Amino acid sequence: MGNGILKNGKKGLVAMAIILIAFWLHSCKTGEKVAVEKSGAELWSEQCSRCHNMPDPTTYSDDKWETVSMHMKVRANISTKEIELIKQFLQSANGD
Amino acid sequence: MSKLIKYICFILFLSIAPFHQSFAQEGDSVQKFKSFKLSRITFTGNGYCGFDLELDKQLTDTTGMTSSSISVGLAPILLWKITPNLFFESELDLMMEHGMVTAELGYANLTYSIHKFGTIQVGKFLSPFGLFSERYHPFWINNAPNEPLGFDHEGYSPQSELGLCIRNGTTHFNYAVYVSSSPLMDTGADVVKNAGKIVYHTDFGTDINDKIGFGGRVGVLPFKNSVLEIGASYKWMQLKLGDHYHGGTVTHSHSSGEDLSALYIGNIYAIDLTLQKNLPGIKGRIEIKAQAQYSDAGKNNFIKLSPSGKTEVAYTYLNTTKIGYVLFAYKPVFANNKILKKTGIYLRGGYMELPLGSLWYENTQEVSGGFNYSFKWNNTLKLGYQQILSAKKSYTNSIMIQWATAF
Ligand code: HEC
Repeated sequence: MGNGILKNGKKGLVAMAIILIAFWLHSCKTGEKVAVEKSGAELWSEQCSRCHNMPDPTTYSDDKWETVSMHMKVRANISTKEIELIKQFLQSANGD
Repeated sequence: MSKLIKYICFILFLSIAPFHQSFAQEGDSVQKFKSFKLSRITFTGNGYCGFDLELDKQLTDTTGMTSSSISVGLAPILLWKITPNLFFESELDLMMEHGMVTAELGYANLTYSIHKFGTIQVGKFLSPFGLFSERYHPFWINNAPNEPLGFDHEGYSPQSELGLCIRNGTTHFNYAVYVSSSPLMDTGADVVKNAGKIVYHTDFGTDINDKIGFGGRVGVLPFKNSVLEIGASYKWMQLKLGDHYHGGTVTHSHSSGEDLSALYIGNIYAIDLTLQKNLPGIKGRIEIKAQAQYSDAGKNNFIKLSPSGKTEVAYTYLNTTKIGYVLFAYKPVFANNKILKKTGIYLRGGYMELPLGSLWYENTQEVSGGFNYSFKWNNTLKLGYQQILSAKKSYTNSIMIQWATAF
């Protein structure tokens, strides 16, 4: 029974392994060059309007942006470097 | 089973391999984050309140049935950045519809983030299967006042996972892979009609399937400014029959039995597309969101009452479902008029084909459209119209008003 069940899932697991290897090689080679060239404000306007309206920096205090940025990093698969720049921009533009 | 475990270990090993290069780069942020601060616990959340007026009609008939309903929802979210790399998120979903209040744990998970490697998430998390469940379902984000056909709470698309997820992203590419508890397949014990439905939502007190499954999504963003994302998802499930309404053991109302120990293998696939672009030429911004999916859970055997209602008869059907939608939205964000720039319109088309031969068979299409007004980025009033046309030659027209917010 176990083997019968595995037959179906095997292809999926192999595909996932290939994706992970490809991703790893890709991130080793190119790093985050493109992102680093952009400013926090640019990244905010590009990244933070992909799923919902672009959030207004004045909505939250510095501490709240610290936490919410992490929430969005995970939800939107944003790289650590990019989210750090966005967070710094939001914290500098919120008037706190 | 041991083979499956080996595969999972292999995938985890591949993911963990880049760890060594990550730790070195983290010193800086750790320095800045020395002390524990209670303020890194944050409460956010979202809520909505809506009114829906429905008119059901047979195509051959001139009379119809009108009904109305009010729905209210509140989802408080607790976020805690425990250390620069360790993060906790949880959401409680409170809903009131047709006078019934339900409470559900939307998600509760712990995430560990490692610079280049990405994140490892453990607990209950929103399913990265397709984009609707994870990214577009909150009503303050969803352009329309309701979900596309089949993507609702009781619908046919994975909503959350209980397990472990690894994810990462760069400007052009992202992925999420997970190992999680498989969903249950409804026995039909509670509502006979539902026999064979894959139960993608888990309420408090729900049985949990101890058979594991796995899945993943890859997303490609071919352009530098992230205007377009195309994704593909796959999920493999070991579907155990279970009663998802009452905790504890399966209670079955049929006297002669279908095989409750049956294990069906389910495969579900999806492709998704998101395009959002500012077009100053037409003084606005356009958005296109689309998702199409197909699931196959093999041939299932169940028992139903004969038309006379006196005897029970066995029936078999091929458990496949197809659902999908395309949404187009336009927001005149570059208009000179202050009021106009806060407005938006949307148009959505969708379809849902449920298994022929099952008691939950449906073959429906929808067209909907509406108007939005955003008081602020996180505060929107929506007016929508929807027409659902079913193969049974009936249609439902709805008018919906909804206010949705995030806080
Ligand atoms: C991949 C889609 C996506 C992207 C990109 C995205 N968000 Fe979000 N955002 C969401 C979703 C989904 C929610 C709702 C979270 C929930 O209800 O669990 C949300 C919620 C929020 C909230 C409400 C508070 C909260 O934490 O729930 C804020 C503020 C926010 N996002 C800010 C941002 C910022 C800033 C960015 C840019 C770095 C961003 N978002 C990028 C999907 C996204």
